[in-house]
Amino acid sequence: MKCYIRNMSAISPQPTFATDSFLTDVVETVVDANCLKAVEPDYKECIKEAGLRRRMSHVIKMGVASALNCVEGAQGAMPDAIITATGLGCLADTEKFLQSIVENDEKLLNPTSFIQSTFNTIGGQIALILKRQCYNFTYVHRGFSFESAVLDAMMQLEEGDASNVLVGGIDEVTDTEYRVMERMGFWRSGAKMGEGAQFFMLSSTVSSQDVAQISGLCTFLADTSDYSQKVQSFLASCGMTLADVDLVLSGECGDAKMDASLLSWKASIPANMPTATFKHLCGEYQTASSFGVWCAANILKNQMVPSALRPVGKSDNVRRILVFNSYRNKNCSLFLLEKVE
Amino acid sequence: MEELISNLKVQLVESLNLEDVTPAEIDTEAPLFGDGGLGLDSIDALEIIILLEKHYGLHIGDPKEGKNIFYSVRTLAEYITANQK
Repeated sequence: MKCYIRNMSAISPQPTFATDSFLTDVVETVVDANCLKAVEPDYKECIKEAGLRRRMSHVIKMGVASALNCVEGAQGAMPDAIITATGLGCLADTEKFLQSIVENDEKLLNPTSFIQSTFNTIGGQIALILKRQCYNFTYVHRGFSFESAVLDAMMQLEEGDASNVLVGGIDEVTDTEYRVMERMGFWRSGAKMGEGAQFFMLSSTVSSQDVAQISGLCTFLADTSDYSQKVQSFLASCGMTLADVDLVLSGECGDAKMDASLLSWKASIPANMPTATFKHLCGEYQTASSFGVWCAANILKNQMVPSALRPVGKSDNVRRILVFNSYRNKNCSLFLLEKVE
Repeated sequence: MEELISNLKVQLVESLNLEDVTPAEIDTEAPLFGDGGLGLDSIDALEIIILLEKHYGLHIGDPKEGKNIFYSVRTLAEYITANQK
């Protein structure tokens, strides 16, 4: 099962939106900054419908703008399915609505924050703007949300239910979320919270202008298993071995405890295996793997690994990239991306 | 009445997130809904109902009255003036 990335778009804590440059001018992470917030475009330019835009919260604007930009550059391809993924959804609106319930003694609740607080708001808004009354699904599977969405998209394409699928991962940072998670022990040992909206137009047929190919995807829960075996099995299912991979792009969050499974596997791979990392640029969030896939596809397209991704080892002629993401040392995922020949 | 109208315009901009409109730009006599005015919709109507209850303690008992009450900022202000205790 494989598919082709016809186009993609990213709004992230780096200047990644609507630009041809690939992480050449990164935003340096301030040591004290606990959150990496997205570099946002002028949404009036991206979302023309003022009536829709004025009700959109930050995360909805990020998602919709990224999705529309992705569709705009997709060589005329329109989605037959819209699949979004989010760990916590429209959190700011949810917080606003819950706060309003408390403050107003469960009376006089504003309809807008209620309507916009649902997880599938972004997918719905995209469909409304694109006027696509097609399959529309939102995955809210914590650290496997984006992976579930891509898997669904690949199955839709494989089974012929769709020729083009718009799939994206979106999450936002809010102050309340940060404080709550900090009290739970998060963000104290090097990890930084992040946010972003990465969208991909996936297609079942190849085109000469495709960015990259997704050749495989698998998810597993971090436990005491042999991670080398899991990676080998995954690559074998794609007809490959680790020797066929030209670059490993991994998603360590910076907290050694949370990165334990990923780091233990990295310690086992050959020393001369070229590696790079991406999460220091986007921060940690449930759908951060979508930023990893965006980076990997860009490496294949541009045939260069930017220094911002902290490459180790020489990686010329990158044809295959293994993306290994881990969320909170629990949700692990593997993506195999290949250059479109 | 003029002070109430000014306050209403500020409250409308805030509660309806009217990004491209300032309170001063709202025409007191223009229709709030449909063409030729602010172009508000049914969700905005719900927000205005909440606004009236929250800020002025007014509950619109008869939905049929809504069309006349919500016609413009002036009709809203007149309704508040006539019904606020």
